[in-house]
Amino acid sequence: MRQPTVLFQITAIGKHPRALEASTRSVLHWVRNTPKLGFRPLVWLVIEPEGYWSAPEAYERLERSGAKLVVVPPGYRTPSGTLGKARALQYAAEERHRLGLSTPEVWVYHQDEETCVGQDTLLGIAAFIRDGRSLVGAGIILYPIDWLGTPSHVQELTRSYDDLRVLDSMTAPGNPTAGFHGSHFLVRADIEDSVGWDSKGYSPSEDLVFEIRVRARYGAVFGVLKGFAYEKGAFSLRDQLRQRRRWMHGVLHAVFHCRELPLRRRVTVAYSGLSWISALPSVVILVASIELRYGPLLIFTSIFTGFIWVSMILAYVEGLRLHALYVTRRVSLLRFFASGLVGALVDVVAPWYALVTRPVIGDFIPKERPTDATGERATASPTAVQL
Amino acid sequence: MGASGRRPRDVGPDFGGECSQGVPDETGLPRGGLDDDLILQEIDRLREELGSRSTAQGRSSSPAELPEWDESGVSSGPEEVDWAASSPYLEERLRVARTLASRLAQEAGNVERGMQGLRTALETMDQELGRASDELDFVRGEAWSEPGPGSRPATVPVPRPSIGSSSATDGRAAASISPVPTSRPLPPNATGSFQDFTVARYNRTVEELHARRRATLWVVLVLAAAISAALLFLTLKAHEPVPAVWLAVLPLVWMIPVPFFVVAFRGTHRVLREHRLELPEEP
Repeated sequence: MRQPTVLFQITAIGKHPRALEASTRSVLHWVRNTPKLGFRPLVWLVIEPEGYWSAPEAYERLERSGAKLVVVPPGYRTPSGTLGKARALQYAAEERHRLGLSTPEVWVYHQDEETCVGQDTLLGIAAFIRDGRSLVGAGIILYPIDWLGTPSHVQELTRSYDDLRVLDSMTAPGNPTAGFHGSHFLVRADIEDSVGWDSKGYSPSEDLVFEIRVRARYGAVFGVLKGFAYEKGAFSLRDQLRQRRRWMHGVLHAVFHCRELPLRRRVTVAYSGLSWISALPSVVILVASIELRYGPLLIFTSIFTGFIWVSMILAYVEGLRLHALYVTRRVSLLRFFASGLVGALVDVVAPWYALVTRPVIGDFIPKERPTDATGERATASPTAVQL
Repeated sequence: MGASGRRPRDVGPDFGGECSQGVPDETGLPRGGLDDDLILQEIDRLREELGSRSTAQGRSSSPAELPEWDESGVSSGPEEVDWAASSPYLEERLRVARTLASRLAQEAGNVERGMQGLRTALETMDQELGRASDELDFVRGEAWSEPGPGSRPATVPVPRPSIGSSSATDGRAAASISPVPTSRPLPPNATGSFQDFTVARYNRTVEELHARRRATLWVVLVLAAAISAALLFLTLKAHEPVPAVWLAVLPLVWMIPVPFFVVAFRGTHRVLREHRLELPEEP
């Protein structure tokens, strides 16, 4: 049997070339500096033409460094006419098929434009392939890049701890809490390409739809991918709100428009969305209870209140601990608490914001700080955080 | 014989600091190392030595004085060949010699630098060959290099491993990971670059996560019970009247995410219990 190939695929519009360059260089760096990986690496940048023309010299530089540039043709159309990121992913799948890379020896590691890898990521991928018992794997994502301790960044810490829930759900039968990632997941190329990314119209939850399809066709083939991936949190509360809105639109799209979703999965996905939506009423009810004075009814809820509160605080504390060796910025306890509170409120409001607005194609938040545009430092040390 | 009679190596380090300043560079070319300066200095000293002899000889050739060494009575007449007289081409020859010596020094410097680069390149090549050899041995030793009955088919399979078997084998994988000594040094401070993302840092993070799992579990349960008990106590103590029935809907809404939190909490601990996340650190 041939040595496996791992195709590191970064799929993005491409309008944030510095973030994309950092991601690509992290792969090239660690592939070069991690001995005995046991796989042949390939790096693909799948971008849109407008992304390429925003910084052609940057992309040519990356090509010279060993990455393959795959620009989705403007006239490309999938059989079902999917749009957005799913369209680019489908094009890449067809390109792999055309090049003879849709085989069991080829694995695709999916990255967003700001997903940097580390030595642990590569060793985790190697271990996953060597293990050979699962066909799709996802792992924990940290958000240490450009971490400044702002409310949106503090809120992002909780996502890393929540990834443990995602991993559990993903490897459990039926994926009860709808856990999956759009990045930092590894899938065997023939599996991905047989399922594809094509769906009707714009699918804001292409990752969720993909997970549903793989599970429906191949069963419980999901495993835990060791090693972290390293990403950036939203830079502002507005970006955080937009990002969460897109996620909620994805959940709603899956529940109401994904025909492949079995009823049982539809219920669990809907419940996950409902749990999130109910967060705002919960806060309102808590505040209103003081005025409405329905104390006796709280006898029932108070049994669980302690658990909910402690669980929420635990996510911040454990998220911070997971990032302890990676972030250079230290914030005071008071600021951390205040930031967490503000970040949580945005997350509470976000699903309602999604309910009253419509999905927007390409509703992806910026992954480059505005200051990066003028600084050469960003290129020299793309993930530097000097505080 | 004076200093000019000493070999360069006999001169010693006391010349090192001055020689580069004491000898003007007529060629305008860059200087070489200590040895080159010493050569130039030796040439200068030689010139001085010959110059002083020439002056002495000039004085001795005067008819009014006898040379000091002519004590044996063997006098040399003016008509005899003055063999000790300085050649008219000596200065020019010395200048040419100095220029050549300077160029020689420069070339030697260039060669030295080239050799240094070559040495570095050879070391890199040696390292890379070593790595390539290791990689080759590793790849040849891997299971996928030997086609056999265990090889996966080229067609798309439909494996459906049961969760139970997966957990059991994960347990074996966990057992194969050797415990990491607690005295292991801390990874260096983070700089924010992707070069920080090492397997050592990762392993330390997940080891600590695994290590505090039980403690976290109990702390959460105890704290949750304490807070709930306090709230319950306050609610009962308030002695508020029973509100309208329709208000009962509100606590129900509040309860919607509770199962999600319970499943998430249980799942987080299950995944940490059943999957060791550490990775082997390569030497």
